Amino acid sequence: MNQKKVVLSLLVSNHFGVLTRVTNLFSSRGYNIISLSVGETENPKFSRITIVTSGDEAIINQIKLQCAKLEDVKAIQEVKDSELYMREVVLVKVKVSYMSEDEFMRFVEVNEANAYRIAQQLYMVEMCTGTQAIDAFIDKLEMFEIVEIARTGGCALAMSTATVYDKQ
Amino acid sequence: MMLNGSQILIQSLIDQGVDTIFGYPGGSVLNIYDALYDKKDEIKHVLTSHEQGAAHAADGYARSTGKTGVCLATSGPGATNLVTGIATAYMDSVPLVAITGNVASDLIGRDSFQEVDIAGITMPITKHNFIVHDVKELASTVQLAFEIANSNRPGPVLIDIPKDITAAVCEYEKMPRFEKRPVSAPSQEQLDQALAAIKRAKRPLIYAGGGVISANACEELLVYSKKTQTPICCSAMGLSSVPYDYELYLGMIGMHGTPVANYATLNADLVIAIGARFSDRVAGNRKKFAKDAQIIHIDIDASEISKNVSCDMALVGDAKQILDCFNKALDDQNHEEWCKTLIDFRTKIGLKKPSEGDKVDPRDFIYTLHKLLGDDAIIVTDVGQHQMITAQYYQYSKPRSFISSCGLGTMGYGMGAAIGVKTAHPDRPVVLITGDGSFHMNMNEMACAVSQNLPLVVLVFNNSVLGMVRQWQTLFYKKRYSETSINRQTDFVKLAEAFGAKGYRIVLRSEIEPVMKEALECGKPCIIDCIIDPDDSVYPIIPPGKGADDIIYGN
Repeated sequence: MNQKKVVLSLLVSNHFGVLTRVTNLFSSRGYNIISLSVGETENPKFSRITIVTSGDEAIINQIKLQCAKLEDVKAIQEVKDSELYMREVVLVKVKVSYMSEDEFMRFVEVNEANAYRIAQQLYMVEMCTGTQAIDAFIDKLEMFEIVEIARTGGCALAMSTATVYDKQ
Repeated sequence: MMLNGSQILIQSLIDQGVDTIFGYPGGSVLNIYDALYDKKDEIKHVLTSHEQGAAHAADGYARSTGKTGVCLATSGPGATNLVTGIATAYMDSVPLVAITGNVASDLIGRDSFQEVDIAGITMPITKHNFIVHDVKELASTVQLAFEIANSNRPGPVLIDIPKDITAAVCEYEKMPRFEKRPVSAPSQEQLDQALAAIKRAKRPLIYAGGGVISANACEELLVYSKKTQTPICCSAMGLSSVPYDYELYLGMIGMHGTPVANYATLNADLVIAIGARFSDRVAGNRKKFAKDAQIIHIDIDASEISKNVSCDMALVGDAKQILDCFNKALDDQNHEEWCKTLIDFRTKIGLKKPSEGDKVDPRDFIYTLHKLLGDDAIIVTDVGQHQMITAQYYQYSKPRSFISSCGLGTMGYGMGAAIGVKTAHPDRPVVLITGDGSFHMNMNEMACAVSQNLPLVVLVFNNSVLGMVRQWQTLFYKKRYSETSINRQTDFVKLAEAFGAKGYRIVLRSEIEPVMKEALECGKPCIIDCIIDPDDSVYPIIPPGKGADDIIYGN
């Protein structure tokens, strides 16, 4: 069966242990998590968990139905590919020895990222965009010395009238 | 009214309709037991020998009554001892509320004495669990736990209560009795589609699971089967949903199912699965299972649809309502030829006949048992060969009369479960059929049966080996009997006497009736040590991963 990558948006109760329940379900049933992010929503009672996962159609269907059974999961939305608006943030601490500060700052600007000088030849670079663009940008930064990277999972909404509150 | 957390807990249980709980005291639940002391007349507490026994007893109580089973244990080891029992209930969708004490809030997270994160441990084996942080939330949490345990597909819920919460005082407000959540129903279009498939079918077959029993849909199932002339086979969990003497009842399906039930899956053109989940013990080969048939799957749990075997039509909802709707919508149907084919097959290739001779064949014993007990008895089993032989040969007449750990396959389940069943049904005969392997696991609960004065009959099929594992070693491991010849030297008759119970031994077939009669009439818990052949095997068998056409009859 064809494997596909799917972005799921879960509206969950905003209290401790809920993330564990969701990730526990994925590990105990052998489902894949490509990335995950979680944060409060417009209603402080709820958090939104965005999970990027993969599997064939039957597995994806199982993932949605099994998640829906969790007491703390209030709603689930599969964000359609055509409507997907997803952003990730990456922070890269990078050592730049063979470019001047001006040159490096220009390089960063051309790539639509931001940078801050931490110390001599040491910069914090930040970028907020799609997964592939971040991957490509990290590849480019390889020409310098990457000291460390912190990267979030994707967070997503549908670029349409569809919301997580719609009856699925 | 101002009450402390312990009083609120006990009162909330009473408010939710609980009259019996199974448990074991300890440091973190001292306050709860103190509150229980005042309510002894309203709520019966059964003190087991071990918390595992309490969990299984609550499970047996729930399975045999349809009510919620409740067990209570202290923190740490008390709580972890419940785990196997909770997992057993989870796998078989049994409504259970497990209550554990925990160390006081200010000691949590400090590796305190008898502290364990039981909510974390039981997360994958409960429908939901709670840690109560505020005594004001206790009564509503208890109500919600009962609601969750009983709504939609039933299952276990755990409530963990730190000790300080059991002492904290607040104004008690009585919560109403829980109500089950509304159940989804299939659309008219889906029903029409299923009805059309049913009308088209020439060779229909019903595969009934435990969901038929928990939905109280056994009557509707029988009406449907008669009206549409559709034969029924059951998963192990579905056993006792159909009376044994119903003409179109084909028996158990799957690995150790009857030849005719498995034959029917190969030849049916429509399989209607009701409250069943196509487990690997039913559909060993998921791709091959009933591959020439259309499958209609009726289940209350949407996530069961196409989880293991993909179906052609899904009806998510209550089995009783859906069957009732079928029964109203359908005219009588005629599948005489198909039924005749199956009945002829059954006459030609049935289950193995009991062997002749002086020695005891458990199959023969089980027939005799039904003759002696009548239709009112409840049969509990442990796990292994004795379980499958009981599943195959006992003649069940009433729903909820076969109590067995079918999903998790918990050896040691039976003793606790039988205590729960007998507590719920003091006037019905309760027989635990077990093996010497399983019985050794939790025979400590005989002490509970004696002190509770529960006259249950424990029938130990004693072959001195772990029969089912040994059978697999015979079939699939070149008879390399690694650690299955347990050869315990336990004298079960003396053991019974040591517990304060009665002990009997049966070696010859001729002893079955007189000994059983005496045991059933003695009015005390008793153990019957019944010696059987270690090389007796359970047949037929569909080897693991295989399909119904790979069945080995073995006779």
